[in-house]
Amino acid sequence: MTEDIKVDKVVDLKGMPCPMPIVKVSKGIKDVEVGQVIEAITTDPGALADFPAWAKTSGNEILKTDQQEGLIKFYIERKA
Amino acid sequence: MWALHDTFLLPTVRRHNPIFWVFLMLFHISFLLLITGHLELIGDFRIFQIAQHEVFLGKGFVGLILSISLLFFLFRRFVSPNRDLSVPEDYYLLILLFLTVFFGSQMDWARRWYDYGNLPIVEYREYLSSLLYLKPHLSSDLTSSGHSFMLVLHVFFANLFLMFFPFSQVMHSFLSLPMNKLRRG
Amino acid sequence: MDQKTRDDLLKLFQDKLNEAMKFYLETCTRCGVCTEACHVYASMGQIKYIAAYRHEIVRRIYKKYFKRRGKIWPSVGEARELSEMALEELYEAVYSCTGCRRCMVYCPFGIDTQMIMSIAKLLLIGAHTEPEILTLLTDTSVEKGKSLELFKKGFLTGIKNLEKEVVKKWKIEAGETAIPVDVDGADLLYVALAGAVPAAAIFNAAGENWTLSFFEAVNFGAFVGDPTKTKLILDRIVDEAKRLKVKEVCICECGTAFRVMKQLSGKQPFEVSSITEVHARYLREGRIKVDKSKFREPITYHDPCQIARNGGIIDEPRYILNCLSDDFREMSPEPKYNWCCGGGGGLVALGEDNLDFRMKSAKVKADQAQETGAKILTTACENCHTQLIDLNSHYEMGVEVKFLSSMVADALMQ
Repeated sequence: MTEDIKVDKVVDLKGMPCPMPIVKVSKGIKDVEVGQVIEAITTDPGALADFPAWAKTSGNEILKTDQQEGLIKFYIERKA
Repeated sequence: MWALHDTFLLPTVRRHNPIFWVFLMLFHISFLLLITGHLELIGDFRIFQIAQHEVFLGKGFVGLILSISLLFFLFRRFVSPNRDLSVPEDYYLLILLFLTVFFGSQMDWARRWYDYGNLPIVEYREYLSSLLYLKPHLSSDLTSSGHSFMLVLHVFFANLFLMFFPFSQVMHSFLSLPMNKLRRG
Repeated sequence: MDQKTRDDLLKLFQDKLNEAMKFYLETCTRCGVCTEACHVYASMGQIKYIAAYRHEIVRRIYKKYFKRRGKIWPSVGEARELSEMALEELYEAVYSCTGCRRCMVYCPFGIDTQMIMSIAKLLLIGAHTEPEILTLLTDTSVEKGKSLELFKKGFLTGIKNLEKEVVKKWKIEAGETAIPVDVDGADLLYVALAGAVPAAAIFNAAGENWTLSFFEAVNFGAFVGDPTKTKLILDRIVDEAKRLKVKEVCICECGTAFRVMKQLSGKQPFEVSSITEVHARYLREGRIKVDKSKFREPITYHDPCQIARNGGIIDEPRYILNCLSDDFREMSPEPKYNWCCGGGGGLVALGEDNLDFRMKSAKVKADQAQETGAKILTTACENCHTQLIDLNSHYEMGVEVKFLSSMVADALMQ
């Protein structure tokens, strides 16, 4: 599934405490065009709830969430 | 209790700016003394006449201290960073107060230090009460005495100051206590 | 700026004018005692960072529109029109102020700069010129609360992933949950930030009957200065506490969250405490024990403004530190005069946009910490923690920045 998503930019948020992941990802998404996808990698467990809420507020879409040992990867498409 | 302490002893100023604190305390105490001294001019309440005004005017030094500390406050505002914080109102008020105090004290100094005749308390008292009861009457003893010019200036500036008072930040005299209560919770 | 916008903004201004606020605006004599109070002024030396000058920017508008004097004779008090320029000045004043209230301790009248600045923050929101990111964070937070069911699953998965780490720090007996959530009738509701690992280990060690809140503690509404949203974010924690009938709500290392919860929640059937208070209590009562040999290097503690000066939690962290170490060094002779880290009031959340300012403005803090010669710099606020880490690398302070609670967790004796 992951292979299907073409990632245009990777945002590394490892080790950052809340709220930095949201701050960084909001900035990161502005660097790509509408329709492109960024991959955000975080270690912050709160992100599992924060990112969907952020996506809803900012009008972007989370295509896929990938959980690995200690890491969470979000694939987010810029919609607005 | 602590709010009273904060309001009247200004511990924060003493800690952070001791010189300023000395002048502030001198100024406020002297000011209070002078106000008390003026009460004597209200003749109707006997209680104000108990102590002679000598007690409150401190042989003219109270007025001198007051004038000096007002000048200090004024010049302090000429120096950055206080200059940048001040607005015209601050200067006007200080100048107004200084003029009031200065001319008021002149009368006192003239009498004490240069032997310039008497201060006719009784006549002043009459003049003030005639104003209070809306029947202005100025005795000729007052106008003819050597002090008259000073008196006119003193009363004029004092009136200006009183008019400005409720609209200016001199209101801090009333608001200081509730404010400090607010901080102490 | 057109008339309609201005009227709307002035209405917002009007809403803020309660009795205390009027006193604050009326009383200042611009005596300048607060000059030395602000860490930004002390570090950068620009007049515009003096507390009284910050007030004056708000006060000018107040004089112009709410005082007859300002209408008749505006120049005597330098009353100023509310214009785009004024908004820019307001932005400059308020987003360089961390709301640490050090100036309030200096002021002979106790004028609360943070409160006056809250007018400025509200006006900026009204004019849509507040920092976008803060509003986005606030809205995200509000959104999360609104559709809780939608995000609950993600939250619970996240928590499950953490449990292993909690157990690593403190072994629990079979059948117990490392991180209990949604426990009806628990004694203590813990409101965390992401990652509740050290706190959870300590609660388990102390045998506390606790439960983790669904919500994060931080109140972005307060950072951006929007009273409605602040209340929304606050109320849902209050509601959760009432629903679970807890006796105590414990706020994690977040200065804003603690102050908002403690001072703005009103009278509630539960107590509000900070994590530091709770840990000190456990240590006093002997419910947890710590190993003093764990940290051998000198330690200093940064008092988070909202918790110490504005929240009154001063003795508790020192008690904990004296349990942890024989070499605890005070930064400032009196904790209430401690310098702000320079990251409060939402400044840290602005991230790299204001990194330069944050570093320059907090020079006094870096110096203060370095003078102690301590190798470990500990604090009890997420905001301060982030800022101190930035300071540490910017000024090459060579210290280790740690959370107080993490230190307690690391030194726990099984």
